[in-house]
Parts: sequence; structure tokens; C-alpha cells
Amino acid sequence: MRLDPRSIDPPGARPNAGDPVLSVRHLNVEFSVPSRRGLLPRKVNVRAVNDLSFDIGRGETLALVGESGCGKSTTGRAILNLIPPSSGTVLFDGRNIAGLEERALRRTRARMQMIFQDPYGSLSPRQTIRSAVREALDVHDIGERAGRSAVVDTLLETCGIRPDLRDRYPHELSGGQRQRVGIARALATGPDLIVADEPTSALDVSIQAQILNLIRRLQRERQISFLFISHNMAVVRNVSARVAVMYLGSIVETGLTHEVLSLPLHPYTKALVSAVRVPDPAVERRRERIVLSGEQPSLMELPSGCPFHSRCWLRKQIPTSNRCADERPVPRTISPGRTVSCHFAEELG
Amino acid sequence: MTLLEVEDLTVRIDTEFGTVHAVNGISLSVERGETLAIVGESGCGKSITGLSLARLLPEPAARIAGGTIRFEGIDLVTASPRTLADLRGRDVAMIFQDPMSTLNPVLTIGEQMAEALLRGNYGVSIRPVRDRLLELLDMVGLPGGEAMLRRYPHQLSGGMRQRVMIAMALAQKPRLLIADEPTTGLDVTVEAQILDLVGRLTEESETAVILITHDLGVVAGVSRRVAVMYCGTVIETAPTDTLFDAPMHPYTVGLLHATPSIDADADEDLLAIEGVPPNQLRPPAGCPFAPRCAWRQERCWVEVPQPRAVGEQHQVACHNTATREEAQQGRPARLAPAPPPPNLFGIGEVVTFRGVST
Repeated sequence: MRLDPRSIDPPGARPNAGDPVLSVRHLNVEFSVPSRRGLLPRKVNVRAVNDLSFDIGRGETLALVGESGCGKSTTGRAILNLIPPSSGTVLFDGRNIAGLEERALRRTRARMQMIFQDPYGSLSPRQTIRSAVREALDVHDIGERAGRSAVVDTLLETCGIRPDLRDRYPHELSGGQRQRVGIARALATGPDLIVADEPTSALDVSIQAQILNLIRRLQRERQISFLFISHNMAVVRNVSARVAVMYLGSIVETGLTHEVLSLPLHPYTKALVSAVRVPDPAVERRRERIVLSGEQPSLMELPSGCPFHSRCWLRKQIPTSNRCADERPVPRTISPGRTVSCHFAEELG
Repeated sequence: MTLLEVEDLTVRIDTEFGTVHAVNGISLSVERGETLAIVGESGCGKSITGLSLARLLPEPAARIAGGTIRFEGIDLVTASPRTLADLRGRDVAMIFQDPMSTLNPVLTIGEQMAEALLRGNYGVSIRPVRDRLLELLDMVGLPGGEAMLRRYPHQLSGGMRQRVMIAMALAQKPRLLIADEPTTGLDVTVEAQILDLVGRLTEESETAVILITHDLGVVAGVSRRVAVMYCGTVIETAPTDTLFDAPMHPYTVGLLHATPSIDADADEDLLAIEGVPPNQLRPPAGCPFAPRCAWRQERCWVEVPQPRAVGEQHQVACHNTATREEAQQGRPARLAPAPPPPNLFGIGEVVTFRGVST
């Protein structure tokens, strides 16, 4: 298949979708960090998120997947303006988050919530879980005061917290129960978008399944959009129809999850997918693994050109080209909803 | 030939809240050069089992309360500290999940590797040792040669630190390597590198491996046999293919159905195992999995099931095992509701019923 390099579809834009809930364009996040190089201390800028663009439709889930340090969590936080982006726009419901003043931002935040990997860190140890959920309603002044405890009970019920646990403190709950509380609190404000950052990574398999099923129920019943951040491809397959694969601050590939998993196009995605273990010995024996050499380079020593070229196992097949080292590939649309940032995706496909 | 034979191993841990029944009479065996996986969720006793096998439990708080561990005929439970010191590092080596906490932060990689290599035999000349260290670095794929030997653990990434641990563990070509979650916390691409490395090196040196993990995907790709642990007991042991193909214990069935896979159909919900594992300070009277089990019967509440052979190398500790069809469906064929616990309230703690058969 020949690709049209002039394709102008924004990466991540979905075909035939209504107005997206979230529209991210050319998002950059930079951190200023002390440099270890040289005699005198000085600050250098590290670009953790590099020119990211994607949309999330109403009721849709997009997964950001990648390995540690790829910038997926930073992206999630930048979208909620918890980390200020250094450039680019984040449109929530058509309005630019960065331009909002304090009060408007607060109102908007009620509609964008976050679930964390470790809800223990985000729940106050001195607050019962009932009051933790109630606080979200009080802060955003949602509903009549008198009716709020009933709302809290309904929320906890929805998330599967038994009545006898509701007056307990976070340390008295198991990890899975705490995550249910974290979800109940995120739901309290009636959000349109939830950024879920590795919500099941700290949980055991049997408990993880409970939480994933809860998230799937919320997707079906509440039309909430999710940005689901995870390092685990199998989990992503389970909760997200669409996926964006990140490497070193850039999105290298986007598409429908089952397509990206069955036919990855970017050499990094190919390696990542091949490294995922399948819980089936017969499948495992058949699978060919692409073992990458080395590790993800430091953001402080970002490779020139394609961020992946220093580890790219397929580059050997294009021996004459220096393009990978010289020119940063832009996301190109291969088919509707499917983009890849690789100069040679079609030769390698 | 059997390398390691564990029989009826029981481990108790004293805590300020009471005694934790960490391991309750498990039996395992490992053949020469074989890879056995021990799989289970947090708190099931798999790591405590691993530590017991190397006699590395933090004694006296944690103690082996019964059973035998025979390693090439020597009972490690009763062996002298001297014998154990000789075995550890030479015949039995161990690697852990977090190499940062097992490596010494103030010593260089080279110093620590030399320590593992010399094992107290100091006063040797430096050149052959250095050559051997460089060889070891090469073996585990760590670049940089002598410069690498001068680096400190914090200067390495998680994957590189694990390579250092592997080099130290395999320096003496041990007969048994106990690997406790060696790739947990590492990225998948690095995990692939590390498992690849461990597999290749242990095959070359014919080292048997006990791989302790929570990840069924890792089990499927790496081991020949599997033991599944729940609440301090081994509830099912089988060749890997059999376990994935025709699991019989309801917990194994549940675990397989709860594990998301990139191969699975995403249209359907996962079959979660409801509830949480029991408190091991006060283990339940009957089968530890009964409170969460859809296959349970009346007797499961009161009678601890003992492991029994159900096929070649296949043992299950369950009163009412899943059929092949049920295992595929992930739920029992009979639609009768699982019986509730017998009314024990008012007649003392459940724990007093432990061991009583009816």
C-alpha cells in the first residue's frame, strides 16, 4: 500500500465522529531540570511531551500506552492542567483550558476527573471514605446539601462498596476497595471525561478484573469518555477501542486497539506487542519475539530525527538512508483513524 | 533426577497482630535443569516459600514450623549454618524483584560482583578476577567493560541492575536459581530481554529455576511445570500445557479467566473472582478458597482438601474440581447456588474448626 505523505488528517482524529469532548493539538510539556554536564550548574529544558495531537469523542475511550518515562502520565496531567503545558492547545468541549481563569477552570475541572494508580495517596488518612466522596460534592457545590448523603451512598453502591465499609478509613480497606472509592469520588461530580492513570497496575489479577469490569460498566452506562493510561497492552485491549502508542514523549502510532495489536505498523509498536506475554503456552511457543537492544534513552539526550531510530531494529533494512537520524517523522494517516510516525512504515509493513 | 524435594513445608510468621499462617504444608519437587513456576497473588506465600528454600527467612520472627526441604539429599531445614553458607551462592542462588534493595548502594558493581565471585576467598591476585568479571558482564550483556565495573547501582537502570544480579547469581553456575518476580516493575521490552537472558544462561549451565511470579503470561512463556498457590497452600500442580488447557481447581480457572490478554475477545467482561483472599492471621476452617468459590459444597467449609493426583504430574487440592467444559466456561455447569457458610457464629472462632473433618 502506498501512503499519501501529504495527508492532512490530524493524527488521532476519528472518522465520522461528532464534536470531540477533548481535542489536543501540538501539546508540548517541558520541564526545567538541573544539568549534570559542565562545570557550573545550569538549567536545561527537557521535553517530556513532544507535539502530541489527538481527539477523544463523547463516550469514547482512548488508551495511551507506553513504557515508563514515555510521557503518558505527564500527558494526562497536562490535559487537566495539573502540569501547565509549555505550548499547544487542549480544548475541552471546544474551550481552551489554558485560557480559563481560576473560577471557570474550577467549574471545568468538575467535569474532568482523574483516577490514580494508588488511591491511597489521594485519600486523606483522617477522612472516612463516605466523607471523602462527600467532599467532592461539597467542593463543587453539587446538588442540595440535604440530599448529598444519599448521593454518596448511591455512588459507593454503584462502585461496589458494601454499606458496612462506608464509615471506614482508607487504611482499613484493601487496594481494590480503595480504587473503588477513588472511582466513586471521580464520579461524584458527574464528569464527562475521566483520566485514569494506571488504575489497576497495583492490583492483583483477580481484583484487577473486578475494577476493569466496573470501568467497562461505567463506559456502557454513563457515556463517560476515558483517557486510559497504561503500560499493559492486555488491559488496554480490554477497556479501550482505540489506542495511541507513545515512545519518548511522542505518539508513534494510533489506531483501533485490535488493529494495532494484530498488525502493528511502527517498528516500536511491533517490538512492544511482540514482548507482551500471552497467558497461553501454545500461543507463546508460536510467537516470535523482537527483543530490542538497549533501553529507552534519557529525555535529556533525545536522539535527533526519529526518537526511536537509535534502537530501531528495522532500520538495518534501509541501509542507505540517513533520514531516520536527520528528520523527525510526522504522524501520517494510513487509513481512517490509523496513523503512524515512521518514514518507512509502508516499506516495512 | 530430583534436585529439590519439599515436603509438608509449614512457615509461621509472628507479628504484633498474631501469628500469620504464611505457608501451610506445601509439597513441591524440582528436577535437575527444570524450570518450575510458582504462581499466585500477593500474600499467597510464594515469596516466603522462595525464601524458605534458600533458608533466608528473617528468623526468628518467621520460622519453618514443620516439613523438610531436601536439596540433593541434604535436609536444608536441619542443616548447619556452615553447610547452608556453603550451599548458598554456590549451589543455590536467588534473585529478587528489586535489585536496588539487594545491591549495596555504596559499593561499585565490580566490588559486589567480586564479592559474589570470591565468596570469602580473599587474597587472590586481581587480574584473573577482573578478567572473570568482564566475562560475566559480557555474559549478561552489560556494555562498558571496566568502566561499568566502577559504576554504582544508582547509576544503572532497573534492567541493568537486574543483569548485575543475574551475573552474580549465575557466576558459580548454581544448580538451583530461585527467581522471585525478577521482571516485575520492569517494562515489557526489558522484561523480554531479562527472561530471554535467564532462559538462555540457565539452559547452558543446566541450572534448575524456580520462577516465582504473579504473571500467568510469564508462566506460559517460560516454565515447563507450574504450581499455583493460594493462601499458603499449593492448590494445583501441573505441566504448563495441562494447567492452561485443562485447569481443575476453581481458583486456577478463575485466575485464567480474570487475566486480560491481547488475544482475547474484548466484547465480553472478564470473569472476575469476587471477594478477597482470607486473612491469614485467622485462616478459614475448610478450604481457603471456599468463600470465593462458585464450585463449593457444604464440606468445603469444614474440611481442608488435600492434594490428590488427577493425571500425569497433575495434582489438585479440591473437593469439587471443575470439569474441562466448566474450566472453559469459567463457571460451574450446575446452577444451584453455592452453599453459604455453616452458622458458626456464637460457637467460637472459625479458626477452632481448623483440621476437623466431618
